[in-house]
Amino acid sequence: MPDARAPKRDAINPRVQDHAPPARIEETGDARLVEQARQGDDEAFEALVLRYERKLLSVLTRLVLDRELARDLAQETFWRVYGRLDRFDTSRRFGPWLFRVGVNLALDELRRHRGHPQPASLDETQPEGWSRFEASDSDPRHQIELAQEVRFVLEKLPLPFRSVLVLRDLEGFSSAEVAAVIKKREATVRWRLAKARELFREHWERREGGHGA
Amino acid sequence: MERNILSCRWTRSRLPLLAGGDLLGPERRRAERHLVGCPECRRQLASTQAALDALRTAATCDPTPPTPSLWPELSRQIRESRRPERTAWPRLLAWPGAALAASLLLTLGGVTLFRRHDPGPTVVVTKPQRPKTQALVVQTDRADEPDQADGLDRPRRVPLEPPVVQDTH
Repeated sequence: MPDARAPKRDAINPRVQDHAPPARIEETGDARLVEQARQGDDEAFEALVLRYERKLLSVLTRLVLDRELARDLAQETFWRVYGRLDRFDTSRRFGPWLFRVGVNLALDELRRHRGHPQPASLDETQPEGWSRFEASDSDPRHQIELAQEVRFVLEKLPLPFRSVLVLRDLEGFSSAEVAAVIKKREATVRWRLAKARELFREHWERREGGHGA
Repeated sequence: MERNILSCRWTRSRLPLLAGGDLLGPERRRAERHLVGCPECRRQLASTQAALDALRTAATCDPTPPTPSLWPELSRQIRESRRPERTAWPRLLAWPGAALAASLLLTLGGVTLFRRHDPGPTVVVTKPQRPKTQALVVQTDRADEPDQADGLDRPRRVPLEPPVVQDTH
């Protein structure tokens, strides 16, 4: 994962997936692929899916903290985008639009279940699949534990702040990209980001103090 | 003193951005100048940086290990959405057709019932200029006298007496 500290010019970059699209499509820009998909070219839409699905899954998983739910939401996101291709302005960037649809779906889902909070304490059984994280550090257990602690604290944050924190600090989106995704002005994003980090710090210190760290 | 409090408040509101490398230009320089002389704000900056370090460490943990692509399922969904409904055409006609048939049946049944129980016109004939003229009322009302010799409902005919014309000369 890229270092979230360095500002990213374009974190919503297409990533080559395990199953690469046909060679003629690899170099084609998003706008061209959208045009082709509108005319019924399924290979073009497939290329868009393969470009963005991993990043989208990552964002959604960090937001909803449930891998299966994130996969369902990602599927729904692409389906909705497919249904709205004819209305998409190809002069705009496809990536922020895609992530906007996905993030909104995730936030709607979280709001629907707000009255039914999911357990997120480390004292409880580890969520299925969460322990299978990859880590580049020599001590992966530490990273995994840290990731779980972060997840616990993230759940405490109100949704508008959680989404900005996930996009900026966990997924490496630039402030401009975050603004495009959540459809707010960049100044609003910066304010929310400052507030989100402050809230995270307060909860983090409280939790670290509780664990005697 | 008051100026320091205001300066602290201003700086602390920007520490989260400073810690994340998002505070730039004159604001950054102003905050850094304040931090030189304010240990409390430096402590808070340090704790904010520690929290952000935890976030960045968590960011290196990939929450999405390699999983099957979403494309096969999406592709199936797209193909199914394009499949025309095979029964759409007959289905389109089904309801209007049924309604038409029902209305025809109702109409025929209604006509049949109507003809069976129709009393027919009532005719009243009077015979003037005749002594002891009696109004002869001829009715073809079949309600009281049904002719059902052959099962068919026919009007019963009552012969009329021709009127008598008197010679007035």
